[in-house]
Amino acid sequence: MNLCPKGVTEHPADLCRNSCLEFRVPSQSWFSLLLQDVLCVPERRLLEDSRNLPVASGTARSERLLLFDDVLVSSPLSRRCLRSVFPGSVLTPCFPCPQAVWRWKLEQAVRQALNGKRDFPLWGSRGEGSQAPSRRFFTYAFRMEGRLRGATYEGEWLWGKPHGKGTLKWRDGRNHVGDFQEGLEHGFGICLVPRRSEDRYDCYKCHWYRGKMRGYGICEYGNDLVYKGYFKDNVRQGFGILENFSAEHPFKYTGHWENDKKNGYGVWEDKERGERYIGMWLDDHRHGEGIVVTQSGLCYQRTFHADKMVGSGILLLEDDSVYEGNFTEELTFVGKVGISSLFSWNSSWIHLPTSFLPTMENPNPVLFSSQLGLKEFPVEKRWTGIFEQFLEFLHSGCKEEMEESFTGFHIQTSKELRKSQEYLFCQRGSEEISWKIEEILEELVQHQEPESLQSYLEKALGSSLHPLGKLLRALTVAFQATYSGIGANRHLLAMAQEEVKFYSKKIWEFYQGLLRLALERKGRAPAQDADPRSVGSSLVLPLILPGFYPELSMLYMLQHQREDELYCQGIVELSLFPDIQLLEFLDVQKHLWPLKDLTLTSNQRRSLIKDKCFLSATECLQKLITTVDPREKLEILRQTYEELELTVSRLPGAERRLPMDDLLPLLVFVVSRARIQHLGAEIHLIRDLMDPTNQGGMLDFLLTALEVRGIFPRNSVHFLQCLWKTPWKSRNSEQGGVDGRFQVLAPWNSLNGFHGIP
Amino acid sequence: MMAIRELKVCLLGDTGVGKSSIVCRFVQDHFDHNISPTIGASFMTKTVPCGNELHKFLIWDTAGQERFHSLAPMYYRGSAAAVIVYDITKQDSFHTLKKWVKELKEHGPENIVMAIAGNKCDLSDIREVPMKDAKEYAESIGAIVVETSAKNAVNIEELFQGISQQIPPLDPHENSNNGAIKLGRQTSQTGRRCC
Ligand SMILES: Nc1nc2c(ncn2[C@@H]2O[C@H](COP(=O)(O)OP(=O)(O)OP(=O)(O)O)[C@@H](O)[C@H]2O)c(=O)[nH]1
Ligand SMILES: [Mg+2]
Repeated sequence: MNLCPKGVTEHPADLCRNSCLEFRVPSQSWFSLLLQDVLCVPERRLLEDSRNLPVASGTARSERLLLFDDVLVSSPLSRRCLRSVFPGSVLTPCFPCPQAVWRWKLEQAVRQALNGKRDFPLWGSRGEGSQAPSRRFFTYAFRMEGRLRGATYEGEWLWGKPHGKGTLKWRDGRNHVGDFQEGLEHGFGICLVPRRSEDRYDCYKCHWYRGKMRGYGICEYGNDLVYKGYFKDNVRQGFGILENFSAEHPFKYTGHWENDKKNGYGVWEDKERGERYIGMWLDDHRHGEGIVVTQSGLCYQRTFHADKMVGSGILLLEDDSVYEGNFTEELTFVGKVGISSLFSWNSSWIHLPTSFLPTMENPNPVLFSSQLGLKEFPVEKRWTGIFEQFLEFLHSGCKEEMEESFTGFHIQTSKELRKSQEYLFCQRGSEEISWKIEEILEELVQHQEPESLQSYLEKALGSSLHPLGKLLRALTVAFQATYSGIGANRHLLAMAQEEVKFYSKKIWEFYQGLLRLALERKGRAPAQDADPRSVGSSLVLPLILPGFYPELSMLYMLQHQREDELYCQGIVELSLFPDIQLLEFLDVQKHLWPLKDLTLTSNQRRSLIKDKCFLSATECLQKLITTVDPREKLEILRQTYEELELTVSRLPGAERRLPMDDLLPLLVFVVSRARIQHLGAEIHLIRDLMDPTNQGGMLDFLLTALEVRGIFPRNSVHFLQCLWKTPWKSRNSEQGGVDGRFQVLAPWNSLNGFHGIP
Repeated sequence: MMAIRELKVCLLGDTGVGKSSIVCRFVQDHFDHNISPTIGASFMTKTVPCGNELHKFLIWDTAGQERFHSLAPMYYRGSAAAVIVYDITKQDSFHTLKKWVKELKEHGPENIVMAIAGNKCDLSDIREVPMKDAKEYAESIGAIVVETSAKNAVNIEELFQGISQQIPPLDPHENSNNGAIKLGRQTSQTGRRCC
């Protein structure tokens, strides 16, 4: 009967004394029995007997204490004595009565038992290795009153308290595996909690703080719900995603929580109904302003009160008709309804705040006009729960052990997600995923120069370990929850666009915060950032754009669908033109016609040649759709211009550079031949997301030229002729009732006038 | 090194009043009798010193022909200044100028600096628009006004200098509070920890 070192003692106080070496016998007769039979085995050595060397002066004979090499046996009566001998923590040298020799021997016995090897310590030797370690591994069942009553802990101890890694099993079936500190769950842990009614568990993989969940965690509830997000004091708090994977009533909520309840801004997707609610929550109910988008593409904006829609709302149909009034969730109308079209701008309830006037910031009023949610959900209030955690991490000094609790788990790919959820605990601490904040801060300091900064940021944002990369990932998740799938609704474009720009700003701020911390640690004064914030965020924007591009470009395509369809029709018609006819038609000056090298008679050229002129420029422009980065798109535009210039310069007698004046018709030609399907969407995306320092410059000019041409081959030759050949005034008068401002600002509004003309 | 400021300037006005000629004179110091009408728009740049700054003019020269009129908003959006040109020998062109001013006021960028140029002042013997009319009108709309000749290089530099001076100087404090994250809490916390 090996009682040691795993023998379970019956009293926590005993454990405190020496944790693994003691065994108390329940009665005197047991004691005698033990001495005779059980304890007397050849391997066991008696180290000390209180009969030979009293534990303390004046102890009764019956209070016997036997110290073997693997067990300490005390007679039932010696209890009082022992307690006074070893108070509090393990073998602290503060007990008053026992003899120093006893104390020393006991200590050595404990040490040897723990180390698992016998040596022959010299009396009185001190220092390294001669004392029992204060840290040990042990199993113990708590029987005393208190928080842990009835629980069993197996794991590392320090000074008599669970400390380090361990497993805590509660009597109700709860099971906690993880890090402990001073007797409390602290650090990462996995906790299984049995559900009351079913034979299933809720599984929490989370960070604990002094016995309570705090920070990032994943909870797989026994009822097929999964929560990924932040906790505080054991409840969901802050940003988090709750998803129901069960077959019945599947849903997903991405948003903010307070005291375990949905609260604040959040996105709810009802997968059964094919509906998404984007808006405000209070105590698990939709409450406040909200937008509902549906699978069918219609959407509405309402005010909710405890899940009920109140007042009147705006309903936007796919065909651009707008209804105002009171309607139910099944979209049956209650009472009077106003109907209007988005293209008539006098409807009193469409508010166009003055900021939507065509300024640099809002260059495209039409885009904003039918857009929802801008006023109701200011962009800086949308995902505060995410930013808060990262800023808090920064404020708390970027402590490595706290990193994960603030910034979330490291997950490389979504494929890995499930795996890592399962093996989270085993994977932890393995070298490859360890994250050295010091190294990262050091790197930050080294990469401050513009070029290296850019490549550094690119690397950091692409990394699933770097806090910048983690922030980007969290934002991508929130963004996709809002705008992918059902959320691909063009009335959300402005919200989405504004959000991406805001992200770049916040990421830049976070970067600057990290840098400042890094410099501070090195004792260097934070660099005076000479460049305004816009410079930094415009550096970040193209780097983060790929992550948001699928949703964003989809929204742009939807928004400019009509425009692009008409434009494509026009392209189809123009594509029938042979090159010469098109050049002629577009007023391209004769000396710029690159036809000399074509060995055909003029007649043949007229009838046959197509897609031959300016081929290099055309091919160059076609690359526009192969890139995501607005900078690269602009670069492609510049190259197209250079190709044009190069072609023109090769023409006989044309030494001079291509004058900008001649550019427009040539660009129209090239665009007609390039046949880019979503040119309108492309142009608007570039313009909205390009570096503001390009504004007014050469690239902006080229873009504008492209935009102009975007509207040329619209609804065909007829339109072209209208624009190209007829005076403006007469076209204007055709527009009649349409508000002049929008007619001017958004030339494609004129498609109302031309739509349907064969 | 002096700070460079980029200023987008667009030129508006009737066809044939000499917008492109003015730009050509300003940028290249060159005049061409047979300059052809602009199609769509044209783009050029020129940098000039102004006080302790350099002003880089990004000049967007639009086409005056009516058929291009509807494109103008794309070209003037985001402009810091607009040069509206009329031909002093053509009353009509002065009338068109007023229409441009009106459109800019309504749909142009806020705070756009407007400069009126009465071009072809070398032909003052066949003048149709009196200097006084232009002055009064410019005053009423708060614009600067100058009579120019692209042909004889009169007042061209002055025109753009006038614009430079109207551009409000960069606010030096504009960027000082750029949302920097303060680390104050961090330091106080570490302070507490060591006690
Ligand atoms: N006498 C004289 N002629 C001028 C002057 N400026 C321009 N011109 C002539 O006026 C004609 C039109 O000039 P442009 O510069 O093409 O006029 P524009 O305003 O650019 O015309 P669009 O491009 O059609 O809008 C040309 O024949 C020029 O030579 C000037 O200062 N004096
Ligand atoms: Mg011109």
